[in-house]
Amino acid sequence: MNEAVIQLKNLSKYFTVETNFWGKPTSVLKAVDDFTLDIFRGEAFGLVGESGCGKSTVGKMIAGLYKPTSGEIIFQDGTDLAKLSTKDRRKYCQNIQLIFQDPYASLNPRMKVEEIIAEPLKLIGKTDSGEIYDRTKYLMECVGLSDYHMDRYPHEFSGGQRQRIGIARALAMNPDIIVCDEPVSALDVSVQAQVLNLLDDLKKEFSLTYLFIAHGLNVVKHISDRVGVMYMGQLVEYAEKNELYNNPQHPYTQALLSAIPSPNPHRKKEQILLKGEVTSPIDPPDKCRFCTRCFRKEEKCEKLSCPTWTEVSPGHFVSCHLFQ
Amino acid sequence: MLEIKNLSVGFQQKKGTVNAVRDVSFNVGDDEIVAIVGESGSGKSVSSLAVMGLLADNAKIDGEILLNGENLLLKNEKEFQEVRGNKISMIFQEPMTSLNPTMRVGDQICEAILTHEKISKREAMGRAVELLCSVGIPAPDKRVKDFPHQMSGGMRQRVMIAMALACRPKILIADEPTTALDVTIQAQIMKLIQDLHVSYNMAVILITHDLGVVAEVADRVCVMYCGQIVENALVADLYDNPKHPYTKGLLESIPRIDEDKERLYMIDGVVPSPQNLPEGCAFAPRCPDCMEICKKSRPALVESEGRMLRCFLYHSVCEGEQK
Repeated sequence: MNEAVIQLKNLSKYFTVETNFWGKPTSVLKAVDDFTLDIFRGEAFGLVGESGCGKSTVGKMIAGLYKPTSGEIIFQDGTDLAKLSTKDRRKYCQNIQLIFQDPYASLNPRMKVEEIIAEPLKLIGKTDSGEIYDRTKYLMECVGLSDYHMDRYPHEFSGGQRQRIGIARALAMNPDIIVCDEPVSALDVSVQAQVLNLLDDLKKEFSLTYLFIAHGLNVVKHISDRVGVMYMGQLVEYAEKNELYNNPQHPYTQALLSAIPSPNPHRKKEQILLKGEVTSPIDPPDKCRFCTRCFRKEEKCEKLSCPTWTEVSPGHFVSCHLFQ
Repeated sequence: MLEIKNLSVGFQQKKGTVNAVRDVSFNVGDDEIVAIVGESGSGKSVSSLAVMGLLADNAKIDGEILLNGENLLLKNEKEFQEVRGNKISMIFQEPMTSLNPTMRVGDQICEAILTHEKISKREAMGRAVELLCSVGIPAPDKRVKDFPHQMSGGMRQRVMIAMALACRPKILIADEPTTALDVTIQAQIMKLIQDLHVSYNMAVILITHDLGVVAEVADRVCVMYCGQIVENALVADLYDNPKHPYTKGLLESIPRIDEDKERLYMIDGVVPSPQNLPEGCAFAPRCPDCMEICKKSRPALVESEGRMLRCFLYHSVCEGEQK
């Protein structure tokens, strides 16, 4: 498991909010700032954080939907995807696939399921219609759809089934890594369990690697091997999942974990209520982003610039001044 | 205080009537937080909209909704206006879309007060500032002049709550109040609702699909499936010992932080469409404990050991013998 499928090095994505008269940016939104992470073959890396923290932007940069402002995305063959032209980049789309959040919006309503799943195959130059048909049929079986579903349109399916179609489409290319962007947030609890189990099975069967982006911490814990927590464009802590959930170190992770309502009425735990809300990611000051809401803030947090990584235990990294 | 008896709501459509809520009965006591949980389409929002008298014209409502003994369904629109916002008020899921984007939030809160009370605009504005203060908005005297788009999601939900509290209602219906919010903000808002429940001494009906939120705040839970209540029990009883197979399945299928599970439990199949309900129990096709009788006839809501259940497994012994 030590071979990295993808390495992200100091990855950043800034969006320009305002420009001056000469078109120079005067105000930037730092959606992702200095993001460094290795994702290993065969693992599921869960990325959690609140809305607007940049977790989807990371996924979109990996999938090639956004071009990073700076930093590197090193694929397993050593190529830096961030530097490729759009045309060269397309070749790598086969290896990196995406599953989207909204199964209602991510399928073309005018295409039959068969066409939706076969489209990526045609795009990479497969022309033998028999081969395409067999592959489509096989993929649909893998995700638990029957072959009589082939001639139907997306509106004839329920949310969970549509998500299955989306998964089959992502699998069509035999990808090395699948970026799952909130794949179960739009689904009901009972259907969510079905899709999560399916993703788990497929991971074993096809030895897939997932980057699993979600805001539901319980969902992420279930599916992932390692989990990373993001706050305002920066990764603040990552570790093996049980280590992170049982022994959170960063104050934000602690607050986040304590805020999850637990379906156990007897467990009255100490809840850490954070004051205030996420501050604006536009032109953030060069210091710890969390220090405006932090309940363990010390004097040095206000003065020092962004904290760097500390390894608190093997494989458990925290970015916080308290540990330096 | 609020009694709902045999409430049924059907929507007339070209293809026929869709029965969104079927024979729902429950009570809400004076100082209770009652949660209604269920998946999308289970009729939980429709029941609450019926209580508020906010259903569309094509809705056909049967049954009784008694507020302190008065049947709300017999009231005309003008009489209902007296109740709505005054005795019962509601907060909605989407704080983004349920506030008027062209009005300052202070004016929107004043509108609610001035509809029900004869006081001057200036006094009403003073009340609005107090209300914003009580829901925890910093610098309320400045914030009353803000438009909704100048506020964040959590703030807007606080404004919605302030507006709902404007006339000190007896009952607050919160329809998925935190679904659109982040967990840390959700924790703040749920804490606020709990505090206000105590300080304003009002009953709360909390509609949600999140069983975690229910466990933390509610006293009693109604679980809905396909427009019917399938189980109604105290929170501790329900979570410790769920009886209805649907409740069991629902609790089993959530991934938990405090437990490790290799595989999640799955309820097979999907929710049937309301136009095409099975002949027997609505849950029968997905039920692991389905019996012959379940496929043929529909169970009634019966009391069993201090809770209400709609399942043949718990019907009196004589019916149990048919297993």
